[in-house]
Order: sequence, then C-alpha cells, then structure tokens
Amino acid sequence: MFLFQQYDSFWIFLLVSLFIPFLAFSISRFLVSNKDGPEKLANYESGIEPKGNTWVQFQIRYYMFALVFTVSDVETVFLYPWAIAFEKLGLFAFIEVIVFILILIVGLVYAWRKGALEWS
Amino acid sequence: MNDINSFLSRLNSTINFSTILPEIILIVGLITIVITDLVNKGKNAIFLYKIFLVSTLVSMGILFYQLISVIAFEDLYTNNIFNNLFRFFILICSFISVLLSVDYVLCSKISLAEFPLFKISAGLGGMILSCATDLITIYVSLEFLALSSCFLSGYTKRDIRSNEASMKFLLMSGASSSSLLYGFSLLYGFSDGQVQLDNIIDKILFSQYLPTICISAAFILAGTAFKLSLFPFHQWTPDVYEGSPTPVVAFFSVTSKVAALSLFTRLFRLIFPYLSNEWHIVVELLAISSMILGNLIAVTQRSFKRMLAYSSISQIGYVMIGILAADLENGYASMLTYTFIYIFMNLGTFARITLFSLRTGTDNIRDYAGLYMKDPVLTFSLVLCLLSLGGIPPLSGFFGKLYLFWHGWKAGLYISVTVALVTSVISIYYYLKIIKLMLTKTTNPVDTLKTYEKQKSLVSSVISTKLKSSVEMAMILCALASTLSGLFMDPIIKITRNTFF
Repeated sequence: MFLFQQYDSFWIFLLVSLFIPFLAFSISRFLVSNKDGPEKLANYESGIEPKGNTWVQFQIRYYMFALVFTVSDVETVFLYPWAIAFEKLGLFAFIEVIVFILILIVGLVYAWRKGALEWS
Repeated sequence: MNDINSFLSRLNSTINFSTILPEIILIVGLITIVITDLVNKGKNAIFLYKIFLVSTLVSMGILFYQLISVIAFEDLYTNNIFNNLFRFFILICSFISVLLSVDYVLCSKISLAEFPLFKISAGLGGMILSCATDLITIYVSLEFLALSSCFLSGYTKRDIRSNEASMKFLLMSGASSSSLLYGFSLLYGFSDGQVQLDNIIDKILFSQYLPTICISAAFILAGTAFKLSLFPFHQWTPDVYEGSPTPVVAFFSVTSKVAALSLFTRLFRLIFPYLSNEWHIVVELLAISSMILGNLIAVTQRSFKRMLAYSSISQIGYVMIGILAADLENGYASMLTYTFIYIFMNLGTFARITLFSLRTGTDNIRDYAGLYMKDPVLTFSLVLCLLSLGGIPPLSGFFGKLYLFWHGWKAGLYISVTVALVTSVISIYYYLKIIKLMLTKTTNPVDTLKTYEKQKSLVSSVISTKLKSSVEMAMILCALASTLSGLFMDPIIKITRNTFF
C-alpha cells in the first residue's frame, strides 16, 4: 500500500501513534470550555505562590555529580559483557578488568579529593 | 608454578607487551602523577614535572630500542618503522614542550598538577593514534588527543581569551570529528562490518561502490584536514593559537599536527589506493591554497602567536607535498625529515616566545624591538630558529625544504613546488621583519625598558634558579637541533627511507 511493501505494518503503526495524542488534545478542547482567569494563568509551583525570578543560577554541584555518575555508569556498562563471558575468558581478562577498575578508582579518588563531590 | 608459566606464555602470545611498553610507561607515569598530587595536597609540585620528564625519557629509550628491532602485533598495532618514528616524534614533542612550560605555569599561578596530566594524556593519544590500525582505535585516540588539547588550551581559566580559544577549539573539533566518523561509518558499512583497516581494503568492492567511496573519502578528508589546519579547515588555528597559553600552543602546534599527519598518510594510503588520482588532486589543491593563504596573511599579523599560527598553516602545506611525493624507493622520507626538523624549529621559536612573554607579558611583534640590547642570547637563538623556519641555507630548515621540493619535483608536482618556492620567499619576508626589528635600536627606549626591568625583578623573585634553566635548556636543545640537523641530514634520511607501505 505504501512505499516499501514489507514495512506496511510499521507505517500504520506510525500513523496511529501520531494520531492518538492529537485525538486526546482535540477531544478535550471540544468538551471543555476555556475559562481563563488570572489565577489560572499564573505559573505552577506545586500549589504555593511563585515568587522571585524565573531565571535562577545553575548550581554546579548538579553537573559535578552527573558527570561522576556518567563515568561510573559507562564503567558498569563495560563490566556487564565481561561478567557474562567471565568463564570463557580466563585469568588474563580478569587481571585486565582489575586494571581497568583500578584506573577508574584512581579517577574517582581524584575527583573526591579535589572537591567535586561536595554538596554545599 | 606450571600454571603461572603457561599463563605468562599465553599472555605473551596474545599481546606482545613489549610493543606497547612505551604507552604503558606513560600510563603508569600518569597514574603516579595523579596519586602523588593527591598525597602531596598541592605542595612540591615540581616533583610532578620530574615524574613526567622521567617517564617520557624512559618511554623514549624503550621506543628507541624498539626502532632497532621490529616486532609485529597485527591486530591493533602495526610496528613498522613509520609508526615507530611518529611515536618517537610525539614523545620528543611532549618532552620539550613540558620543559619549556614549567616556568610559565608557575608564574601564572594556576593549578600546577593537572598540566602534566593533560600533557601526558594528549601525548598518549597521539602515540596510540600513530600506531592504530582499526577505525575504532583511531577515533578514540583522536578524540583523546583533541579533548586533552581542549582542556589544555583553556587552562588559564581566568583569562577570557583562553576561554574563548578553548570554546572554539572544542566546537570545531567536535564538528570535524563527527564528519570523520561519518566517513568511517560509510567504510564500515561497505566492507560488510569490518573495522580493521586491512580487512576493509580486502572486502570493499571498489568498482561497485565508487561514488559513495568518494563521499566517504571527502568526509574523512574534512575530518583530518581540520587537525592539520589545511586550507578551508584552518579557521580555528589563529584564534586558538592566540588565545591559549603559550606553552600549550607550543605543545599542540607540534603534537596534534604530527599525529594528524600520521593518521592522514595511513588512511589515504591504505584505504583509497584506487582513488589516488582523485585525492592527489584534491590534496594538492588544499596544499597550494594553504601555502598561499598562510604566508600571505602572516605578513600582516601584529601578534607573534597569530603569525606563527599562519606560518604553521603554510608549513603543513609544504609537508603535504611530501605526502604526495611518496614513491617506492624513498618512502615518506621527505615528509618525515621535514616533520622532524619542523618540530625543533617550532618548539624553539615557542620557547623563546614563552621566555619573552614571561619577562614582558606582551605578544605584539612591535615590542620585540631592540631585543638585541637587552638579551643577546635570546635574540640570537630566536634569529636562528626564525631563519630555520624561513629556510635559509646553513640551517636545517633549508635542507628539509630542499629535500621536500626536490622530491616533489621528481614526482611531477610542478605547480605545487613552484607555488611552494614562491611562498617560501614570501615567508622569509615576515621572518626577517622580526629579526630586523630585534636587531635594530628601539624608537622609544624608555617605556619598554621600564616594563622589562619591573617584570624581570618580579619573575626572578618567584622562580628559583633551578627552574629558570629548564626553559633555557629547551631553548638550547632546539637551537642546536635546528642548526645541526642540517649537517646530519644523511643519517636521518637513511632512517626514514624504508617507510613505504
């Protein structure tokens, strides 16, 4: 029916998945009347009164923690295949992975001592 | 006991440790620096530099020993002379550039410990890049080198020019790496999933996919030409060179260019032999435009570092002629000898600029006026290095260029060699302009002399005499190498001859 014949089900799936959110928004727009008052148009801040600027300074501690987390996460991802194939790989792979983890631990201790993990 | 013996023999057969021993020593040096810095809590920072220098020297010694005996390790590394020579060059670059950066880092009061760390990691990236034979290792080591250079160029955090340089370098190197990766992915796709360079050549059906292979070659050319700062991809060079701290510029002006040269040569020689007519023409065009552009714009520059950036663009244009002129009995001898000489000339010039900017804090060419009266040693050595860059006879730059252009002429690149000769003469103009400025009297002696005296007393009270000699040692080394390499040209050429693959 469409361009690539064997992907017909995929195209239909794509169309339906694009259509459903559109349907959701249009049904609610037809059913509900739009009553905008000053309170409805205010910013949402979990029920309390919003105060202060909308633009606040980014706190660097979030970035630091995210960075250290990303490094450890990628290290874990590298460890998963090694763990699965551990039996077949033998002693040499074990020592190699120990070296890998040691290098990353040195990096972590470095980040720790230089104050990247301070939450204040 | 039996178990350990069999384990060791299996170890030795799977990877031949002695092949990557220089890199392992550098990695051990890196970890030692990190641990020492943590333990010492920032005191006694000169010790870190000594660790760096020691580990680089040991690496160089082992690599030198390996240059004599060639060992093959076919999967990730190939140990022919070409790769080993490039690893040796990069080690020389790291060693000399750290020698000349110790003073600067101490004086500018930035954190001392991370500097040798980044330099080692950049040197490591370069060394692995020179030996890598599969696409993933090439890409990872290239990114390693690029990211470490980015961090180095933004090292003086409080200087806004350094931030600007680092930002530009990061963005542009990211763009060019992605283009390189796209070229690699096309090669990976066409060769049916092969990542090793040798297997890719075996499996690609060149006749069938020729137009798309050309596209892949174009992308790879764009990615590598960025690092080499060839003509349309040279835009980052002057800004990054001008903004970064001077010893950092010294380091990555030689290291990343040398590493990128080895990458460029290997990729284009191995993967695209059927396209050699096409990419020869394109590279020739790029080389000619780099030479013309680099030399003409360098004439108008007022900042020394910016002028050296444009002059390095033109030097790479000359080296490209050497790559195009490679043939069977001479290999890449002309390119390798010129690269070797270029390392020393460039590092020598940057050593003197570092010393000068430590003393006067300025980068303008006009402030070099009358330097002969204040510091004859500095003037004389700077004269030697600049003349060598220009290509004046008794110095080694002349012999390097002579060999390069002679090879190019023999290989039939008449246009390139003619353009190179003309632009070489133009380059002599701007080098001689600086020399003339230094050797003649200054017009207003009072102002410059006063700043010079004040800075000198400030500097000599901060640094000890032991450190002061390291920059001078680097200077003397480079000056000697720039002048005497010309006389010892024959053995160098003989070594670099059998590098054709």
